[in-house]
Amino acid sequence: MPPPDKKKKDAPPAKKQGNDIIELGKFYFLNGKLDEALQEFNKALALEPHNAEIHYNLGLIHESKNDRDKAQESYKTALSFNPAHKLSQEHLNRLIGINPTPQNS
Amino acid sequence: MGTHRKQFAVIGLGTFGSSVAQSLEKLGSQVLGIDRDEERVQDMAPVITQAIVADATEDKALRSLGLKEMDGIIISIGEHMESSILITLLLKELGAKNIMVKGLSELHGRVLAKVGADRVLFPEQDMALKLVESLVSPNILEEIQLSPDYNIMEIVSPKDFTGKTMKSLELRAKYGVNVIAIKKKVPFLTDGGDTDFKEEINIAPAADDEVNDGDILVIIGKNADLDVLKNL
Repeated sequence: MPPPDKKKKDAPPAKKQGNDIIELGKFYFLNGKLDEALQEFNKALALEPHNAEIHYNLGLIHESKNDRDKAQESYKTALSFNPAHKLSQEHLNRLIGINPTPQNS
Repeated sequence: MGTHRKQFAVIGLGTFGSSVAQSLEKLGSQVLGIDRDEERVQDMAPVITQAIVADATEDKALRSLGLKEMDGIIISIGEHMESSILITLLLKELGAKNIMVKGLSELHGRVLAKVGADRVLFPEQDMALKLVESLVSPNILEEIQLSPDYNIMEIVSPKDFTGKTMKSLELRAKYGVNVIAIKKKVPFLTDGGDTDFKEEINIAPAADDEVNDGDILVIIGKNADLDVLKNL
């Protein structure tokens, strides 16, 4: 009998822990708890500094707080680790004021 | 059916003119675009009601276009001062209403007013002023002057307001201002499971509506009262 939950066991510990933190951060963000979300994503960043998704989410939080400079920086960092990160590109373009892409709703 | 669609003419389809034309069309108006340059006209033809090649400085050409019936005419001619002055004059003689002309300099603006422009536009100066304001006071996103004494202002909600209702903030009693709208960034999960937000606007917020972190308040009030709020 194969061991249950094989996939979870195989994930490296840091990665798994990082994913849990990211999910918690997203949960806070979706509930409008920006400070708590920021804390979680900063924790996740310490584990996985090159994860584009984390930088993108940090960008979302900064943008939600109307801190455009920090938001731009986060989106740019996300794109430096994953140039194909579409949402980061869309948000960055809108902040710079070029090629406004309509938001999917 | 329903309401009459407004009709506008835009003379000169450069950067400013074509932006104005497209935006008017997008908001439901009918737009006639006019330029001497065939390429510019072809570029605009798919996105506005009608785009034609004509030299608007020629009296005869101008008369044939039915511009008198328009709700407004925007003249946006880049480099030639005399062209926009001449067109303004000709349109005024035709009896056209609501002539708005892009001015190239202060003196040009004065001449345009003299020959009958109803409004002189300085888009670059306006944008420069906005940019400077946003640099000097980053919390003020937009300011619209209603009269010398009253303004509408968009500000990032002060940190202290977070989590409070409109009622408990008592902005009218405390500061003498009214919140006419709250702009919110509403978070959601995309189909792909990514987080994102969309901007929503809550017009005339109710007493129980809450202010959240990062909300933008659109406030109307006396300048002196708004100044107090700006510095919170």
